[in-house]
Formats: sequence, C-alpha cells, structure tokens
Amino acid sequence: MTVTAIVVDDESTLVDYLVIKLGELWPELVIVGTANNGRSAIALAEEFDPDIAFLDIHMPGLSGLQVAEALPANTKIVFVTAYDEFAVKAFQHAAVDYLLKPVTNARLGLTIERLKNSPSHQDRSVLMQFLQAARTDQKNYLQWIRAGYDDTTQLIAAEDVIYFKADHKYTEVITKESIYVVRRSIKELGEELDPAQFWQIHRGIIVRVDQVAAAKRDLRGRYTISLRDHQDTLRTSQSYGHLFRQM
Amino acid sequence: MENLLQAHNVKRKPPGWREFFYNTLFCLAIAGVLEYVDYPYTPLFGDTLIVSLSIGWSIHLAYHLLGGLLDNFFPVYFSVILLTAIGLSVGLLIAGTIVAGNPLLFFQDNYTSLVLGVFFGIVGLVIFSTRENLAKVKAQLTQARINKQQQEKLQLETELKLLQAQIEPHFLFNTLSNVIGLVHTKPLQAEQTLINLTTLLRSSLQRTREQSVTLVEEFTIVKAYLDIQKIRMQGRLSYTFSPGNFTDDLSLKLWPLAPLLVQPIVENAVLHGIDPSESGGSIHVDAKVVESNLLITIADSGLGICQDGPAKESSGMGAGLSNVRSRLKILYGDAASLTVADNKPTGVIVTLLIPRKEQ
Repeated sequence: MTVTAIVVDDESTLVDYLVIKLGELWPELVIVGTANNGRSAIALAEEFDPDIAFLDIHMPGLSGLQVAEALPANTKIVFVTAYDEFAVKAFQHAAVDYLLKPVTNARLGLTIERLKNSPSHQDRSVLMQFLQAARTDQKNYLQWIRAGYDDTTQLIAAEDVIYFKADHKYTEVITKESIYVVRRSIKELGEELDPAQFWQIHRGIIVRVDQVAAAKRDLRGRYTISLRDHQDTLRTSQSYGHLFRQM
Repeated sequence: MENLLQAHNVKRKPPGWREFFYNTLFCLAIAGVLEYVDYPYTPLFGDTLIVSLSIGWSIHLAYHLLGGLLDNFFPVYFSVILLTAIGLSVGLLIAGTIVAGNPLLFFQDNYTSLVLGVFFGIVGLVIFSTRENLAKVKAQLTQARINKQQQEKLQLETELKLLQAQIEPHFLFNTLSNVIGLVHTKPLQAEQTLINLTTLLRSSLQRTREQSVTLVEEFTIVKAYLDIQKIRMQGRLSYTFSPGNFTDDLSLKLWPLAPLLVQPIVENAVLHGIDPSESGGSIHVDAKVVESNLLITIADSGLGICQDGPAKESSGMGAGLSNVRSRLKILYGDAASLTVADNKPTGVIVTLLIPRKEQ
C-alpha cells in the first residue's frame, strides 16, 4: 500500500527542497500535491485524502495551524517552522511532530521513522485544546484608532490618546494636539481597549491611566481628575470611584 | 538640614489638622508636667492647661496665617523664630486675660511663666520643625531616587528597543533555509541572498552601537532586507525607491539620522501588510527634504489596518511601529513625528518626519 503526502509552504523554494529531501530519504512516499497557501492545502487534502501533511505554520491567509484543524484525523501532521519557541513547546506537549527549518537529513530521517511506525490515527485532541487556548490568549487590543479629522481619515496610536469622550453615537478622541471623531460608540471602543491602559471613569469617559496626574475626592465620593498632558479636568461618576480609592 | 532645604527650594506648607492635633497633645503634656513642678502661681490644673493651650494654639495660628508671608522675606529659620515669638506673646496675652482678666499679667511681675513659656516654645519648635524637615528631606530623597530610576529606565528602554529592532530569529532561520534550498538549484540566487544577509547582519550589529547613520546607509539596509524577502515571497513582493538613485543630491544622501528608523517600518509593512495577503503587494519608499526636515514615506499596498475590531494577529500593525515611535520621541522629542494613514485603495502609508540633528 502506498503512503501519500502533501507539502504545504508559501515559499516554493522550501517546498521544492523538502520534496527533494523526502524523495532521497523516503523514495516510496508519493507526494500527491504541493500548495503555497492554506486554502489550496485544504482543497488538496479533500481531493487526495493524503496520509501525511507537511504544514508550514506561517503562511498568508490561513496558517498551518488553521489548516491542521480542517484536516481529517487520519491525516498525520508534521509542522514545519523556522523559529517559533511557543509552537514548538506546544507540539512537544501534544506529541505532534515538527521540523525546524533549515531541515537536516538526520532530523527528517527521524521524522520519517516516526511516521512509518506511528498508528494510522493521530490523536489531535491535545493539540486542538492547545490551539483553542492560544487563540483566547491572543486577545489583541486596539493599537490604532481610525478617526476622522476634518475630511481626512487618520490613524491615531492608542498611546497618543489622552481620553475618549462619548458624543451621542460617536466618540471624541482627545490627544495632546487635537480632537478627532470616531464613528463608533464609546461602549464598543471600550471593549477593545486594553483594560490595563485605559480606564472607564464615567459612563461617557475613558481615560488613559498614565495620563492621570492626580485624583481629588469630593464629599460625595466622586473624583476630579487632572491630566498630565492636557488642561482638561475629568469628573468620575460615583460608581467608578473605586478605581481611585487607593490613590 | 537647612542647607538641604534651601538647596531644594522648598516652599513650606502651613500646618494642618494633623499638626494641630500633635500641638494640642504637646500642650496637654506640658500642662501635665507643670503640675508636678513647683509652680508658684497657678494652683489649678485648669489654669495651667489654659496657659499651655493658649500658647500652643497661638503659635499654631501664627504659623498658619503668617508662615507663607514671612517665608517670602526672611530665611526659613529666622521666620520660624519670629513666628514662635509672635505666637508666644499673643498666647501669653490671651492666657493672662482668661486666667486673671489682665492681658499683661505674665509680662509684669511673673517672669517665671514667661521663661517657662519661652523654654517650652523652643522645645516645641525644635521638635516640630525637626520632624517636619526630616519628613521633607525624606520625601525629597525619595523623589530624587525616583527621578534617577526613571532616567535609568528610559535609557534602558531605548537600548532595549534598539535591540528589539534587530534581526528576528524567525527571519534569520527562514532566510538560511531558503539559501540551503537554493544552493543546488539556483546557486547565483543563493549567493546573492547570502551577500544581502551579510549586509543586514553586519549593519545591524555595527549600527546599534552607533548614534547616527546616513540616509543612504539606512536605505542600503532596507534594500538588502527587501531583496531577501523577495527571494522568499517571489512574485508577491515588489518595491520601488524614489529618488531611485540620489547621487546628485548629496545633502539628502548624507542626511544624518538615528539607525534603524526606516528598516523596522519597512519590515512591518512586509510582515503585517504584504506577507499575510495571498496576492501580495508592493512597497514604495520615498525621501525628500521639506523645510529643512527629512520626510520619508513608506507606502504599501498590503492588507492595511482592519476596518472594524481589534487588529488580527496577521494584519494591521506590529510592535515595530510603536518601537520606532518611542525611539523617535526619546531621540528627537516633539521635533520628529511618525504618522500613519490609510493608503488607497488598500494598505498603509507611514510618514516619518526627522529633523536635522547636528553631531
């Protein structure tokens, strides 16, 4: 019975190289197809149902990890990566084989031995668990805010923002030099900002924490906040006062 | 201690409720002590207390009302003595009035009270002002330490940022894999890639230790980087420079700028704009002098920044841009700027404005 494989890498030089090396070290292996991106890799897998898939991790569009999730369990996966400590640790943990670029004959030989001797069904539950965990960990906060200024659209770095102020359905973005308008509600924006950097201090105001110079408490438990790089003062509402209690 | 205070130019604050509380305690203590001392005039504890508190509170009030005013005219220690004297006299006048109905009681025939008042006034003065000064000096030392730490932190941050701007391991290993893959099939391309990698590595190692490079040096690095990425991405990446060959403009060519300001932005455009796009894109780098500032634009036709929601892992902006931004701020202050805007129809335009920095 012939063993079939696909090789997927966005760099064709590396696809060719791996195909040549596989031909030398495992002549019986039939490479049924190669692909340069995730989508065509999945199409290839559906067409040929290969026994083995060599998947590059970094690819345009779908990554190798995403392709792996879409492949049937009877396809054994070998990940290929140039340098990715995080992923490599995960693969060791999940007992999924991987190759580091540049691929050496000795290491590829070892992988081939493992592939020949491993059971036909790969248990991917650990890998899937890890991938899911990695996805939730990688919550990316808003770094650039697309905002209008006169007639132009500009991108404002989150670190330049002093505070946000709700203005009906829109939100004003106050920086050191000017005021921009974002066509989104402050609630939507707030959900995407890094909570370690931005604090909501009022239903309509979100301030960057390191811009807070001082917070003065009044008798009703509200705080008046003075800012480092702006002469505006902000007022917290009572329900957000706890943020400053220890200051 | 006085020298320290003056050297730091401290503005004394008027005493507050906390000082008032200590002051009162102190007065009670003196009244208590005086009960046990052979004190010929006051037979009643109440009277001792009244005298003690009148003096204590009057001194407190004098500090509160006149402290800030006197500090403008006299050295700190002189105004402290003056305030104590004023407070003491007023206190004795008040005490005399309350105890015997005679304001001058303590100034006429009973010098013991006056002497005791002066003595305890001085004791109180020494205790409180030492306490206050110690606290101030301590606060100043802490502040000085914080300032120093912040400065050191900033310095370290700059160095770290520069280190971070250096070549990524992933890029290095990937390039080497490509060279190995090319070595048999396309040896000339392999050779050229190794030459480019050498240029990039050498400059990255050398330049991080240099304060300033010329624009043409920075662009050589950018070209070496882009040529390596072109081998990897092939048809998916193209680039242009304008002016393509600026030999005729020597001042532009030799414009001094801090190292690794342009390359990270180009790298960012490749990694986050063009590489994640299946169809790829192009990069255009332009440099010109505008009102004696260097204006560099880096425009790509990649994915651009997500319209909605936070940037996905593969698209938008990497750490490279924030890195360059903070280094610009540290190196040039507000004179330099980095702005980011949408490119039409897709992609991002980054504009760098760098002032001329004399060596």
